[in-house]
Amino acid sequence: MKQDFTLEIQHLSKSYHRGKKEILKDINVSIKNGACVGILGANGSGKSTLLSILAGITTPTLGSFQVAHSTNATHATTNIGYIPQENPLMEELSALDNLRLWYSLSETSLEDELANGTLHELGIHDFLKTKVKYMSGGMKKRLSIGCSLAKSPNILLLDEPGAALDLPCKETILHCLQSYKAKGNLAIIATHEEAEIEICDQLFLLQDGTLLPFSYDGNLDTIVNAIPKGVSQ
Amino acid sequence: MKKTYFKLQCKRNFHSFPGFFLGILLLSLFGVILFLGFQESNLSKIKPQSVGIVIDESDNYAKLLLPLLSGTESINKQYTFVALTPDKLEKKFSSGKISMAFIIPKNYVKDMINGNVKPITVQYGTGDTGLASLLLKELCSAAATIILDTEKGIYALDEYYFYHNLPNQPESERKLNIDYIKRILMRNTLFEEKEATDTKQIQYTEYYFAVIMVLLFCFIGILAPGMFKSDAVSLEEKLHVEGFSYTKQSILKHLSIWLFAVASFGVLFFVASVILGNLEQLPNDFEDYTFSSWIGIFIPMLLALPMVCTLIRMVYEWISDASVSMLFLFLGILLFGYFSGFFYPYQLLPKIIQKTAVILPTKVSLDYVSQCVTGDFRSVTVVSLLCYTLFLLFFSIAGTNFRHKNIIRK
Repeated sequence: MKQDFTLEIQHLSKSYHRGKKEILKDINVSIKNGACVGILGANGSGKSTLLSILAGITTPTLGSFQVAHSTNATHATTNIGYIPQENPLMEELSALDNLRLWYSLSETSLEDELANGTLHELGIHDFLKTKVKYMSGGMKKRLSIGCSLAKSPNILLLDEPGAALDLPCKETILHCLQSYKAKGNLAIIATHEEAEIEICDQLFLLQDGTLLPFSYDGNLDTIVNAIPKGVSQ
Repeated sequence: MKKTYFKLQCKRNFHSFPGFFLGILLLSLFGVILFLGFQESNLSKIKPQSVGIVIDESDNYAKLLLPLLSGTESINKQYTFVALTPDKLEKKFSSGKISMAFIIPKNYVKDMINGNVKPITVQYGTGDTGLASLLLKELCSAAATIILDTEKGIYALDEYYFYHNLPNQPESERKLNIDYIKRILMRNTLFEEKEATDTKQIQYTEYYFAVIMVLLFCFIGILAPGMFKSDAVSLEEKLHVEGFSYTKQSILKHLSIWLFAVASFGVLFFVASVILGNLEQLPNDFEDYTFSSWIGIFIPMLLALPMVCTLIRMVYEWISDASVSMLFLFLGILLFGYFSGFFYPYQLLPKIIQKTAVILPTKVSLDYVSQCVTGDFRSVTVVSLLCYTLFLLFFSIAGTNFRHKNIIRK
C-alpha cells in the first residue's frame, strides 16, 4: 500500500482567447488517494482542460494544485500519469518500441511487467510486435495506459478511456483501474460511460466552469438531466 | 530517454526506406528513359545550328557572303546564319544563341582584291561539342570552297587585269591560277580558329544533372512522408512534461532525418557510382568518369541534404495535415524550381526572376550541387547552405512550439 496523499486543487481557473472565454472558474477540490474519481460534463465543458492542467501540459490562468503527502507536500507532476483522448504513441513503431520509450524513464523492468505485471494484465503481450498503425482502438488504448503506467504514477488521469471501444476492451480497462485503485493510487476519469461511472467512488460535474460534487443513484436519467444540452463546442 | 527517443526516431525513419528506395529507383528510371529518348530524338532530328557571321557594317562586299551562304542548299538545312556586329558576339555566345561564328576581317573583299588575304577567324562556343561541332567543322570546309570560288571569280574578271595593269594577260592568269591551286591545297590558312572566351556558357549536361539531383533530394519529402510528419500532439506533450522540451524533440527529430537521408542517399550514390563508372555510353561531359570520379561528385552533394530535409520538415511542421503538406511540397518544388532554374536555365530567365531566386533555398541547393558536379566549390555557397539549414531549423522548431502554444482544449 502506498503512502497516503491528497490532491489539492486551489482556485484553479483557465481562460482562452486572452481571457475572453473562461472555461474553468475558481475550482477548489481535495481528493484523497485510493479512489476512483469521475468527472462528468457535456462536451466542451472543460474536462480535458482540467486533466491537461493536472498533467502539467496546460498552464492554468490562475490557481494551483499540489499533491500533499501525509508527511510532506510536493509539487507532483512527475508522478502523474496521463492518458489523453488521442493516443500518445508512435504510429510507425511496434507496441514494444513504444513501451521501450516510456520504460527508459522507469526503474521498473519492462520484461517483468510484460511477464506478470500490469502490462500482462492489460494483455499487451499479445500484440507486442504489432505496429501501432495496424492496431485496433482498444489495443491502442491499452498500450497508452501501459505506457502511462511505466513510471508507476500515484495519480492516473484518463480522458474518456472507454470511448469507441468494444466491451471486452472496456472490461480490461475497468479491471486495470480497479486494481490500480486497490494499490492505493488515485484515478481521475473524464467520462460519459456508465460502466466507468459505476466504478467511481466520487463523482464531480463540470458545469459552467465550476466543479460540483455529484451523486449518482444508478439511474442514468439523473446524469442526462444534470448535463445541460447545447454546451458550447 | 533522449537516446531512446533518437534511436526510435531513426528506426521509424528506416521503415520509410523501402518506399523511398523504390520511389527513387522509379524516378531514376524515368529520368534515364527521358534522357535516352531526348538523345535519340536529337540524333534523328538534328536541329539547325545557328552560326554568326560577324561583318563590319560598312563592308558591302562581305555582306554579300550571308545570302550566298544561306542560299547554298547543301548547308542551309543544317545551319542558320545570323549577321552580327562584333560587339554583340560575346553576348550571343554566352546566351547560347549561336554555336559558332565566322569573324570576317574589316575590308576583307577589298583586301582580297588587292591580293592581301587575311584569315577569317572561326570562333567556337564553349558549349557541348560532339556531332554539332563535327558538322560545323565541315561547314568551315564548305565555306572555304565558297570563298575560294569567290576569289576565282574575282581573279577571272577582266576589270581585275585592267585595274592592276597586268600587261601579259595569259601569263598573269597562269600565275594567278597556280597561286589559286596552291591556296586550295593549303586552304586551312584561310581560317584562324579560336574558342569563345566566355566561360559562363551553360554546360547543359552538367546543369541538368545537378537539377535532377536536387529534384531527387526534394522528392524525399513526397516519397517518405512518414518520416517528416509530426508525432502525435499528445506524445509530444507528454515528452515535454517529462522535461524533454519541444525544441529538443524537434532537434533530435531533424538529426534522425538527416542521418536517414545521408545514409540512404549514401547507399544509392555508391550503387550509382559503381553503375555509372562502368557504363560506356555516357554524355560527353561524363564519358571519362570512373567510379572514384563519381564518388567524388556524389559525396560532397550529401551536404545539401540537411538543408533540403529541414525545408521539407518545416513544411510538414507548419502544415499539420500530411496530405496537404505533400501537395504543397509538390507545388512548391515546381514553383521554386521554376524560379531557381530547374526547368529552364537560370541564366536565361528574366533578370527580375534571377534576382528573386537568389534568396530561395532551392537555388542555393542547385548552386551547391552544380558546384559539386563541376568541382568548382565556392565558400560563399557552402556558407549560404549552412546558414539556410540553421535558419530553416529555427523556423521548424518555432513551428513546433507555436503549434503547441495554440492548442485549445474543450
